[in-house]
Amino acid sequence: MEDAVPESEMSKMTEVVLSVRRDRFPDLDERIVTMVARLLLEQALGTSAIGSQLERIIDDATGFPESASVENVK
Amino acid sequence: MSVFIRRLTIENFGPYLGRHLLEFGARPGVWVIYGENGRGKTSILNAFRFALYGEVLGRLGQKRPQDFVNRRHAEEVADARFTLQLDLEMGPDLYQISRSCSVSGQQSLVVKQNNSALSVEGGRRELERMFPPKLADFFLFDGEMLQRYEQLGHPGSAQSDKVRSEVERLLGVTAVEEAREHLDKMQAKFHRELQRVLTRADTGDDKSNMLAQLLGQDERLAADRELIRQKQARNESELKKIEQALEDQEEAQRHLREIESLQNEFDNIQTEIADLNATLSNLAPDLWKSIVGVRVKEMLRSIRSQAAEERTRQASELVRRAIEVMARGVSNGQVCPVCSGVHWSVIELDNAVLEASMLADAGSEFGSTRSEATEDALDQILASSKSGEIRIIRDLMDAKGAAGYLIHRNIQTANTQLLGINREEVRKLVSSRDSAITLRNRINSDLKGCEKDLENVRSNIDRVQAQITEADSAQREIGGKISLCRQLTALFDDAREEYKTRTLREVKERASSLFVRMRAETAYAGLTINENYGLSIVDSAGEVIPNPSAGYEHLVALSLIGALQGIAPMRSPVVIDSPFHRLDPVHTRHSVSALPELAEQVILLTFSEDFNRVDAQTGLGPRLVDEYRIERRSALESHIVQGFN
Repeated sequence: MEDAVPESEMSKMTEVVLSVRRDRFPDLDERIVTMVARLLLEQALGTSAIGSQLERIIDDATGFPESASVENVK
Repeated sequence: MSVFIRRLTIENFGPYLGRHLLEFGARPGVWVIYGENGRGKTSILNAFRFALYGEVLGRLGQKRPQDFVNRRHAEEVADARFTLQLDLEMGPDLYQISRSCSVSGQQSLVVKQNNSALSVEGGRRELERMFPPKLADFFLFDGEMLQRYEQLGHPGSAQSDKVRSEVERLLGVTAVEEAREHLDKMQAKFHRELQRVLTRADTGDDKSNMLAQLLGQDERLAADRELIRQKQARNESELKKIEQALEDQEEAQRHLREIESLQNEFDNIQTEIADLNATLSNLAPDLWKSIVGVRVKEMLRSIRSQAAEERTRQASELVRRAIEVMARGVSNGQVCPVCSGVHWSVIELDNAVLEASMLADAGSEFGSTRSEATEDALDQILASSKSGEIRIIRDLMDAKGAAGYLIHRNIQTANTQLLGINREEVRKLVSSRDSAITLRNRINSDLKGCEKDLENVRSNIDRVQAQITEADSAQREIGGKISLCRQLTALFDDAREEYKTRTLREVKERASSLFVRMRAETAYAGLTINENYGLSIVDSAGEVIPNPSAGYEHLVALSLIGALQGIAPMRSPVVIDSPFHRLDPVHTRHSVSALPELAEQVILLTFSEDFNRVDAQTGLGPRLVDEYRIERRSALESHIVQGFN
């Protein structure tokens, strides 16, 4: 986790997301949650839009490449 | 991240003829601008306001910006205009906002980011991000308009709902909600993919069929939810338009509300008077008794007096008769009243005395009986006359009538404030707003129901999916993504609630800490907060102090500003006009020392009586960055001068 997002850059909302993960969703990969939370922080500060990035994180997290998207399933 | 004001340039605005610069280093600290009354302090606050939001406020609401073109400039130049330029710094970026307005009311806005002009829409977006318009009162604080802050925090009021949603946006709650939405949409997308995979595979087993059915239900419910959300968005957009239109009619609304409230009061009084009249009518059969009551009392007194006279007369008669009998006996020589000699007829004397006594008794009894009977009868009449009750009712009616008259006069006064206002239009807007709010509640309820159904279907999808052991790789792949989305959605649901709770708690703690620093009344132990970020003063037992003074309301408003600034991801400067207007010297001193905690950059507009320079320098120390003073050159012209040398 330290490599993913330095603690100093974490906003309070990211900290809350991570603390909820620790307390109530311990099985969820902390690295994935951190990435999603960081995405949120950037979005909140207007420096990024969530859109496709979130899908990419989920694709990566489930171990399937982006090629497994709906277009290929069709 | 912090936003700093680097410079404000005022040109031909209000009393400021020509170009005037107010330099603020892009760094934390406090700047003080001194100006006696009427020199243009509020114009500087309005200069900030117009540059940021394109509006100018007076004490009674919005004013026409074109009326703020400097008069001398307007006399000298055709289609004169004022221009306000605000130079801001946010992180590595420099922004320049230039907004102007001509005497004909034509406005223009140019926003530059690092010297590149942004599109009008892009510029507005950037401005709204840095200074959300609905939170304008928290960046531009006018100490003389405290009622604007008092309206906040009352759950249910349109104003407080607006502020709550903006505060939550400012503090990042909305971002967590949006993330949850993204995850939800993604989940719906994976559901559609899974449905396609199942259709293609067509295994025919029960579990797969059930899963396909559930996914179909999920799709339909998601579509329903989307429709409800669209309806919600349309209604919110309509509501926003109505509220914007109503904002321009703020004063008219206030007067209409006042008239409505007075009219209700007046109607209530009329009803009460009618009720009292009805009670009087019920008492009417006995009314005559009340009217003759006084007369009857006089008669009673007279009869009592007569009865007493009668008894006296009878007693006198008794004595007279006894004397007569004795005198007769003596004159007949029959008896000696001294020795009771045989000459005197004792029996005759006894009979005379007895007779006289009986007569006297009869007279006395007669008088007494007659008097008592009369008294009883008259008392009954008086008792049934209910004169006391009638008098109370009459007094009440008089008092109600006087109150009604006063209210009627107040209604007339309020009506004069509405001359030239299209009341029907304002009422129609208010009614539309009420309808939109009712519709909002219904839509929210529908949405909640739909989301609950969706959640049930999704739980069933999870359950059935887990039971399918012979899934192919495509199913497993999509199933894994759905599962992750589900867990992340649930996580962000919880995080949203947790974040809201923590945010409220943090706002309360920060505001309370600031408040305690500024307050002098130690019985006021701190602040409590409601779900709309409304703050109330509490005592050491946690009991809310009802109706605190205006000075303390002022401190509460400052505390809320400081708390919001303290925890917002984006910190903005605060400009305060009349910062200590309602505070005594002790509270002023306390507030001065707390100023740097209100925001990173604080700009004060004040006058020497309100804020002594020596106190400022002592209280703020090195945190006081610079001072300006406003000098008057003529009745219509002021100048801004840096420092006091």
